[in-house]
Amino acid sequence: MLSVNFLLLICLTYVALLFAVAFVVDRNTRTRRTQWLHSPVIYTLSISVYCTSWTFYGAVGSAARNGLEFVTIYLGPTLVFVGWWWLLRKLVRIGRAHRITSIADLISSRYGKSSGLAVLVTLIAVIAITPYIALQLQSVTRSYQIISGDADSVTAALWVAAGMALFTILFGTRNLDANERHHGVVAAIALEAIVKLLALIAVGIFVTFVVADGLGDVFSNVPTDMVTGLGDAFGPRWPAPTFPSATATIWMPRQFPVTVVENIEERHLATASWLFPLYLFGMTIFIMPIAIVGLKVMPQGTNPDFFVLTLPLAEQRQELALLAFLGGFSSATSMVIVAAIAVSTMVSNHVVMPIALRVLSAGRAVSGDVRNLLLVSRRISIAAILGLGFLYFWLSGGADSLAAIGLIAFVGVAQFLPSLLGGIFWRGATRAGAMAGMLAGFCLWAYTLFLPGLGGDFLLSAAALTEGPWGIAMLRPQSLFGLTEMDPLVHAVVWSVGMNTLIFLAVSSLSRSDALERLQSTLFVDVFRTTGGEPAGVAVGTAEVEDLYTLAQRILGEAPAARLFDEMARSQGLADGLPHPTDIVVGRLERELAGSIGAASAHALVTRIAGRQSLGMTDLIDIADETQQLLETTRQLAEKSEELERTADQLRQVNERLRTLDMQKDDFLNQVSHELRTPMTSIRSFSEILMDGDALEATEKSRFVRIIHNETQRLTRLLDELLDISRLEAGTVSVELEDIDAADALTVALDSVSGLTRNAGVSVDFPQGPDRTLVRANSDRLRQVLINILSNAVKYNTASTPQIRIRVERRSSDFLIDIADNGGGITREEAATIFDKFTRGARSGPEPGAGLGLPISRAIMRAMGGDLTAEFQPDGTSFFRLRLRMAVSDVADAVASEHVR
Amino acid sequence: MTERRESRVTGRKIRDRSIALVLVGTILLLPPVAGISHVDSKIGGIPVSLLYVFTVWAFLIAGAAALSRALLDSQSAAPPGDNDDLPG
Repeated sequence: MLSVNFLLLICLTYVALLFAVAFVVDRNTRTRRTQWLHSPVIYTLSISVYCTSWTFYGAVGSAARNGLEFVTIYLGPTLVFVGWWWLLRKLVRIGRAHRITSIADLISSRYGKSSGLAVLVTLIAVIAITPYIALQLQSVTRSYQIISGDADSVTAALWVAAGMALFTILFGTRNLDANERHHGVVAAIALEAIVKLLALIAVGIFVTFVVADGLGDVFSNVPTDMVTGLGDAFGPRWPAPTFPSATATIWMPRQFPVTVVENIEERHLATASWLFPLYLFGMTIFIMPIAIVGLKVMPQGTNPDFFVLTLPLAEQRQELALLAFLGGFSSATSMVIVAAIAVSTMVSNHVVMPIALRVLSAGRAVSGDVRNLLLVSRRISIAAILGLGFLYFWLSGGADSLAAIGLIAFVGVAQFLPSLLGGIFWRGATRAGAMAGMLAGFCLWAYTLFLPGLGGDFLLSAAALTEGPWGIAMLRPQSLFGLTEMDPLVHAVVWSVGMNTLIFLAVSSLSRSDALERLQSTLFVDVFRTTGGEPAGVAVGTAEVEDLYTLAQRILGEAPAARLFDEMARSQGLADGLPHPTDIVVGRLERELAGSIGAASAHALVTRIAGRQSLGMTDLIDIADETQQLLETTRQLAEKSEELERTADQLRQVNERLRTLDMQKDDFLNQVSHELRTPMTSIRSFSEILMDGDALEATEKSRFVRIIHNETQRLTRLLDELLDISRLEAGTVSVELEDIDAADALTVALDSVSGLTRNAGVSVDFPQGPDRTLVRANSDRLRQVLINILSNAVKYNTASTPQIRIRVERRSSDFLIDIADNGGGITREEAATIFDKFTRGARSGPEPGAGLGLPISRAIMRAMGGDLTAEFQPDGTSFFRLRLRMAVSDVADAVASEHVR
Repeated sequence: MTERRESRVTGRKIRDRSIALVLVGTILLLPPVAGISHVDSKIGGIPVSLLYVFTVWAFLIAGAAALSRALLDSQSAAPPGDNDDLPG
């Protein structure tokens, strides 16, 4: 046994140490020298506030009573954190975007900043947390009694409660942080997390390896039942604690602030996803050995909840017992501090604030110092919450096992689950649904678990517990509506959470949400798709910026308010003075205030001053909807008109082409009729002369007949050409191909035009090309083409010393004949049309010609598998190129010779 | 650009794996599957059921650690905030 005074001294020293840590950290945060504090490890350690004295003492007791079941309380959180990507990340993102300060704030904010919902959540949280606080009081009191031998538990518990209240008030409500972040508290909690882990592991090692002789010895002669629990291990009771514990990791009023509100970086979640389960693993690894050794070594009837303390004491290891006591003390204090701060924040923001607003501000402006009011209300709430905890401890007589009390609280906060999960994943969840679901779940929880937990001393009598109220068996709290033969815990979970979920879903589907709620639901569900936190409202009334400033001063404090307004003024480009009360300013202010007093209160306050309510949110949403639709329609229209324009463009092009073709056709007909008319005219006149002219001389007659004959021939030739070209183009006539010498064909063609060239004085430059090359061609047709091109070059050459250059070349399997003259060539525009029928180049001048030569030539070349094109040299001069396919045998030669080269 | 797309792809893969890990862990730790360890024997002096639960647990922690490291790597390669459209 240790002396009472010594224990008190130890406790006070420890508390003073925590205080020092919190104080130093808080001061350094202001000077920004605490990078280490923003590490994921500190974050994880602060989350481990999850391990309260229920874990520290109660887990061993649970293991001794029910075997392995104790582990479910830690498996649930493990699964939640391993799957952090699903849920935690979204919560953290929402919490940050909307400056959420508590679980009540989150739910009320999601369902249209409803203050009614916030009050309900706060109420449930306060009632659910009460047994949990009682549990901490009980464990600290008991451990104190065990280690000091003091007997009066109620007085001790009262002192513990008072001490903790004072401690929490000093710790948590020294100042009002804009983001409701408490760096000092987090640091102190992290320290406590280390202390409790070390203490439990130290006791575990001592028990396993000193008291017993290793793990083998611990489990020797131990029936399996003792480890797995009696009856149905892994049975229906197994998931019952797993499920609420999984949810408690997040929703528990003490967990939400450390996990979501104090989260500095989302990346820290990734580390916590394995580090926190690892911490839990470390906390629980020795629980089973301690429980079993305790059952073996300690006398019958010893409370297994305190084996962690009594085992070292029984072995006369007082320093270890003291360490264990400090570990338990750490677990309890960290939980009480965080939970009391969280719940008192909820109470002051969601219960006291709205009432104060109503009472204090009859007029437009807010009178009274809101800041002070908030701090005072928080302090009173903390005291009240610990008072309630003490009351519960007193009423319940502290008889229950620690784990049973803890589970009552867990199932209590599990009532938030449907509304919250529904709220962040389902847009259709409505305020009415959340309200109805939570109310039903809460009542069922209170009836089936909370009141029975008080053992028939409060509201429900012991008789009502066993027989049902007024003797109605159907209403027995622990077998409601005949749901008997079920574990009380499973029974309570099924009824409360089950009904809660069903009613939530049903009412949500049947009810309608108002405009603000719809807006918030979108912002929450699609938090990863929306960038900003809050949509800008529309300030219809003109806000008095002085009023807003006064409000900010009262809630944020003078210096932060000045900073905020300065910054906003600067962002508007104002050198000094107050910013213009634009929507951005009002929205920003509302968000900042929400960080201190919750979304619902901030919204109410700002609305009151800025008069943002005059235009209903319904109107806003309608406007937004209409705008959205309009934008969409405009976009579609724009797309359609673009497409139309493209089509019209194509049509215009086609039309242009058609018109050109039409003109060409007219020209063609003109040309044809002209070409036909000239010989026809002479034929007609001469034949008329012959018909009338009996007096004509024979020589004259024969001359006229010859002229008629020549003209007929010319006509026939013209018609033949027309026929020829149409057949060639249609492919109905086949050109017989053979292997001929290209050079021979050229020479023959040059001979044919030699009379022409000599008359015109054109010199022909034809260097001997490559060796004899066989090409696939029809010699007559090829000659026809060559003569056509060459005679063109002669006829249309206007140079003073006309000249024709011919060049031949082999290119892979093609044989090319380039024919150029110095007569000016053609332009690129002409090149596009020169092969059209009846088109005549600019050079053609007065020379007669039907303009069929080039089209026929090209058609012939194509029919022979080659081509005729107009080409341009780099300097812009043009020439005609005839492309012919080489004979198969020569292709091989050509390829071979190329290789040699 | 390709680098970023690659990191996105690996990011998605890692997320898929982390979801698989949770599902596997849930199935292994809840009845009826967890019941397979309910046998009356010991391995190395430790009851099988105790060993089973803690082994699965350790496996989950190791898996989560590996995945979180991989995820952070892939995220630091990609610009933050482009990984957001996971439903649920």
